Amino acid sequence: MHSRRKTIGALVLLMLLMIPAWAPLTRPGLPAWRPGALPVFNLYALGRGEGPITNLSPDGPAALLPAHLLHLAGLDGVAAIKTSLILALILLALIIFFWARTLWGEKAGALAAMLAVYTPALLSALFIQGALALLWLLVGVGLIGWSLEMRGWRRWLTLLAGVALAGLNAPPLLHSPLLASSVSLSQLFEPPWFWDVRTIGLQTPVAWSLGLPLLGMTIIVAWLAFAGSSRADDATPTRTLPALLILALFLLLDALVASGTLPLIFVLSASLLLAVAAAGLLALTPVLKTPALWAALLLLPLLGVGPALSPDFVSYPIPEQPAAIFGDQQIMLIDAGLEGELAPGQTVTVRAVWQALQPIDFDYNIFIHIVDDAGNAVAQFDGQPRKGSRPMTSWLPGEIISDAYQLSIPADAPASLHVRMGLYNWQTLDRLPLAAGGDALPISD
Amino acid sequence: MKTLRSASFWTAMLLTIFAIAPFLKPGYFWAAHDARHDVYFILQYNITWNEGILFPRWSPDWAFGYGYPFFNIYAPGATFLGTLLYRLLPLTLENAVKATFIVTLLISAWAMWLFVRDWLGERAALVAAVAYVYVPYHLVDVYVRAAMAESLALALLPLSLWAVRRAVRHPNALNVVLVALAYAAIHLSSNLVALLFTPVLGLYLLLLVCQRAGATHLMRPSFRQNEALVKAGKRGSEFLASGASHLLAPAAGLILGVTLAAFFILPALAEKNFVNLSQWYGGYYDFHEHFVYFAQLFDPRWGYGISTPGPNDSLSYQLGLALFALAALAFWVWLHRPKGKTAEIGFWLVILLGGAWLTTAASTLAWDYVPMVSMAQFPWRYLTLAALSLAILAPVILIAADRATDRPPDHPTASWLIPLMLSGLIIFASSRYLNIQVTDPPPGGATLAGLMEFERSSDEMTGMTSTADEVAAWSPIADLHTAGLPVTTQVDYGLVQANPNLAVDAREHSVTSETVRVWAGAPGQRVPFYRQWYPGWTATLMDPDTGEVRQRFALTPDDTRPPYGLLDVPVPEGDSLLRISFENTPIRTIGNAISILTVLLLLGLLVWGGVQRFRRVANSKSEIRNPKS
Repeated sequence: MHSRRKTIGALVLLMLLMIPAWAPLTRPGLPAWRPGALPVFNLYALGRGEGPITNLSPDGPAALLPAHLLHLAGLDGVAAIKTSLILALILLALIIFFWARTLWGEKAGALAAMLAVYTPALLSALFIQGALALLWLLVGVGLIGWSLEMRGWRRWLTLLAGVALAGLNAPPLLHSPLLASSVSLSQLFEPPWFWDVRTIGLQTPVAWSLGLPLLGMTIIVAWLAFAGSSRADDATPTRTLPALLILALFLLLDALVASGTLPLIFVLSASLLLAVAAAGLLALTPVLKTPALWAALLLLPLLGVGPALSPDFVSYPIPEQPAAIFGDQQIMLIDAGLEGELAPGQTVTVRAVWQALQPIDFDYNIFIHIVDDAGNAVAQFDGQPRKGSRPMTSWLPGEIISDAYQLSIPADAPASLHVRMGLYNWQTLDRLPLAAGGDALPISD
Repeated sequence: MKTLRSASFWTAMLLTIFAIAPFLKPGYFWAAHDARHDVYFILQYNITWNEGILFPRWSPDWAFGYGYPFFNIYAPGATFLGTLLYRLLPLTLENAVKATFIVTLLISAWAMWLFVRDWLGERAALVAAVAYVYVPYHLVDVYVRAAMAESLALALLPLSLWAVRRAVRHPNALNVVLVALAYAAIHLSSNLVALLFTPVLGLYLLLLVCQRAGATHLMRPSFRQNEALVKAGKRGSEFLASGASHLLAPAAGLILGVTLAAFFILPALAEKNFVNLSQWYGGYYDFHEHFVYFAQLFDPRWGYGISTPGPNDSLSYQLGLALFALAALAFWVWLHRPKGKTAEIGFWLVILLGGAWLTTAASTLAWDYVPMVSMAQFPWRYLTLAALSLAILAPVILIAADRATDRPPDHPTASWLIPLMLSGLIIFASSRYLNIQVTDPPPGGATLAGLMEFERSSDEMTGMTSTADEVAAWSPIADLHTAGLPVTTQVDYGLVQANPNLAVDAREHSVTSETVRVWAGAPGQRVPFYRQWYPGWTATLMDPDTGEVRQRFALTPDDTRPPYGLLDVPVPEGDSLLRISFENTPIRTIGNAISILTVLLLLGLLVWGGVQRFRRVANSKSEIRNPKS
């Protein structure tokens, strides 16, 4: 029996220790992650009863549902997405805590949760790859693992919840090209990830490292479990540890041979199992339960996480839906607006916020035409983004590019004018079609 | 002596080496925020010291040589220390600044060690001392901001806490002196830190007094034996009486601390309105633009930039992941109600929360409506309190007892492994930040020419007094400094030569005075000087042949000329000798007198305390020799 007071104490401590993991999400804006503004647009689309605006997003309706409920409760889209991520992180920590607690006690529970959440691979998946569904899938995996340590109807209920969460979130994840990658053995054990003072963002390669603390403790636990430890304070670890370790090893081996989005799922699922297994260190070596030694163990995951707690953020207004999507889900115009008076003799500025949805293979030109009622151009802009300094082939998927274009309207132009905007191949002069139809987006109308 | 025999103390001091090491690199961190200021502060202080002025209220080369009463309103302690090191050791000005930071780091470790040893013992003291040196905000102060004054004040805070703690527990004359010296040192190191810290110190004192009074009161036989007394309401009055007796010594010490620093505090308060305060508080200094975002408190990123509006400052405001985790563990310990420690742990947790809260926009109301809060200038300055609390809370986990596993270590060496390991983790957590950015010297380097160039290029150290209508951008004095020529007079000869009724012959010049022989061909003539007006500037008119004083008067704002509010001293018609000098105002004289009286009182207390101590020791020795008597 675990004393309720001890559990509450450990839980309160764990919640405090989780703050650095979710605190970055309280920054204004969104992390500079690969989906960019897609999660927010998909959330709004869900609210309208529509499907996702592209099929690139790794987040299906199941992943967006908590954010949708928060949005219904009054949070704006960005805040709802970020709050749902915070909730998922906390829930994941809680589930790992209770799972490990069932096996080896409260202190091990807190250690397992710390090891699970402060894994470079997990935080990098969160802040760089931006997959909400992945977090919810991991919550499901955690529930499944925990259910195996339960008895009676609780076991089946928890198992059902876990399977449902994992099952509902897996399909969109598996189809998202944004997460596609492969992993090599060296990446799994990349010891320091980046031991310098930097931030992480779209420019940063995704970390696959499980982190030195988790790997180190796992190795010690494996040695103790397989070499046999006479100091173990109960018999459970020796029964459960090998199973956890073998399963984690199996998942990691799978990750090495898999490609697409599977390596990520395998590595992170394995990291959960390893975190629970590594916390068995406290059961195998009871002296480590001494508060000060336990404190030192709790510090290690925090110190081994590298720059994963410093994600870059971008802040920009996100409308209810994107202004346009160009090509085959290639480029998204998040928002476009006109500044200045659209009248003869005036200068107007068209402001645009772009996002690359996928790697772009051609430096498309932007065109902006100011036309009269008959469709005759009276002023126009043609050129590369940011005056040529950021051609589209340099855009990273998820990167947000704000730009502005000035046009001078001749004094003898007619009074009734309209603005059209689009993209074209400057070699063939073919325009990139809009997903909604047509090849030019009206701006002033 | 007990301290010097402690291995824990020497280990703590030794472990500061990683924080000190960056300062042992050749070169100087010119690009750090106040690094250039620090060099020029010492340069200025040393110039006045060369003329025998140990506490220079007037700094002659501020504002392109028009002068500024900098140390009259800005605590001089750290610059004094830097100048002392510069004069005593064979150091360059840059190295004197680096040496000052090294000394402040050592004092930090020492002071925190003393305080926490009294509270939690030597093992905890080691961890706290290390934590205080390596807490990120302290490193920001030292490496990034190069804030010499704040670093010294930060180092002295635990010393004050230690002294107050001792005075409550052992109320004697020596401890009163200790409190007075420690508290005065903070006031003389940084006005802002003193302001931030005083309420915390006051609350801590009250907590200790309540604890002590409660404990003493409950131990009294009258309380335990006579329940009726308790029921009759005597308990409260006994508690108050006991509290008052424990409050007396530390409160006296704090008051004496203020009076000891009165020579600085009184003029700083009374005369601060005679400088242009908008240069210190307006524009960039608007606190609304500098609130810390919640995420920044936990963000381990590091940078060397300045505080900017928005969440993307490259200046780090983090609490420190390791120290935050240890504070969370201290909260966990607090939940277990450790015997005799609960209240103090709770107190420091509240100070940590309060300090962190005051850095964020959640405290806007307090900043808007509590003048004392907004005097901190930048919200992130309250990280001072958070850093202090984090270090004090860092070793609390060591006192947590676990019945099942926390057995006393068998070997004395083993008992030190855990604090050493925690110290190592704390250092490791901050190891990424242990660096200064050494850059090439700016034009002019650590010379007066460099100071002039710095003032021109950065608009720093260009403080003007209240009579100035605009901030100076250059001056003829600056021309002389830039050319490497000595300044032999600060008379504005351009104006003198344009006046056919005035002839001035400079006779003597120093940083705070000037004597000239004047011939005025008509009444109402004025001698123009390149010096800013400020209370204390006094004119003395003398007979040119005998030196007999004819008239002596304080110069007022009416004796200035626009646009920089420079001195324009009226002289009578005819031939006379005019001396202007920067002297004490009545409030400065009162402050000086109070400080001198306090010094005498403290010396008296020291002697009295020493005699008492000697008698106590002698008595106890005689009791040991003659147990029957």
